[in-house]
Amino acid sequence: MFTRKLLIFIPLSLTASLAVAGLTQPQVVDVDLTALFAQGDQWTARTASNDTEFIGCGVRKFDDGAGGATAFGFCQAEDADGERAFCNTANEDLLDAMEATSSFAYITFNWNEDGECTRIGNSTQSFYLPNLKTK
Amino acid sequence: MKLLYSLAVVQLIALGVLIFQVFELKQQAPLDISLVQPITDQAQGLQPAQPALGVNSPQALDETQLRRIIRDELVSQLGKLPQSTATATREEKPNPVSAAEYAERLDLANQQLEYHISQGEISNVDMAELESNIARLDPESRQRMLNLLSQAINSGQLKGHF
Repeated sequence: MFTRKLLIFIPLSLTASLAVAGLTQPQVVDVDLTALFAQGDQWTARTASNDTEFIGCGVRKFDDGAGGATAFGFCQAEDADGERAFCNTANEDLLDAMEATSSFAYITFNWNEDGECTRIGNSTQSFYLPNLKTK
Repeated sequence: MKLLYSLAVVQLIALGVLIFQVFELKQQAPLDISLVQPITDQAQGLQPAQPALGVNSPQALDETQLRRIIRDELVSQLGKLPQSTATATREEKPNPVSAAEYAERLDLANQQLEYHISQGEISNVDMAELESNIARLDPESRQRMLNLLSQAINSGQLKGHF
């Protein structure tokens, strides 16, 4: 009896899938050095089959010794072709945008020829979340 | 059991006394001019301070008169304050960093960046130090240095983790 149950259970477990549905819309990292534009979602970059793709932003804050702080931030990305982008900003509103980036967010940014970020965008959508379906 | 009953009775008596006292207080007359004048006279140095506020004075004032008296008193007291206190403004903090010091900091940051570019890469520790030095620059120099750093990375001259 137990063996019969086991014989039924094993094939079922191998074909089981998590009950996760909904749209998935991954965005691989893309760096356009002509348009000075980069985009990508973090999960797709992190799970890419290559060793080069990445995208993200970061902020640095320093005590200025006068009761305030000096802050600047940066965004960077590299695509599968090895094209790299890096920009910096001290603009408070752009820094706010950088700090608003969530764990699985889609990130996009533009920069000028001086290396300054001119646009920071991020988007938190369900379709950027990891696809947990197993086959 | 007897003890509990006794305590309950004592409690009831205490409550009754309290209620009676509150009732008595409510029946007392409102404040009158004799309570305000001593303050004014004291401010003018004409009379020593009067004892605690009394009640049941025959010269009772209504609320409007009382407010007017208090307002007049406050105005007279505020008028006696020294002008410097009334119009004091926050002093601006002088910038403790001289132009010469900023120039030294810029020179240091430039040297650091040039060195790491010559090496082709920068460690996390060195990057943290470079960032700190850039943060200590004046805003214009800081932006210029950040741009140089960005351009070095974008051109592939410098590799590192940020």
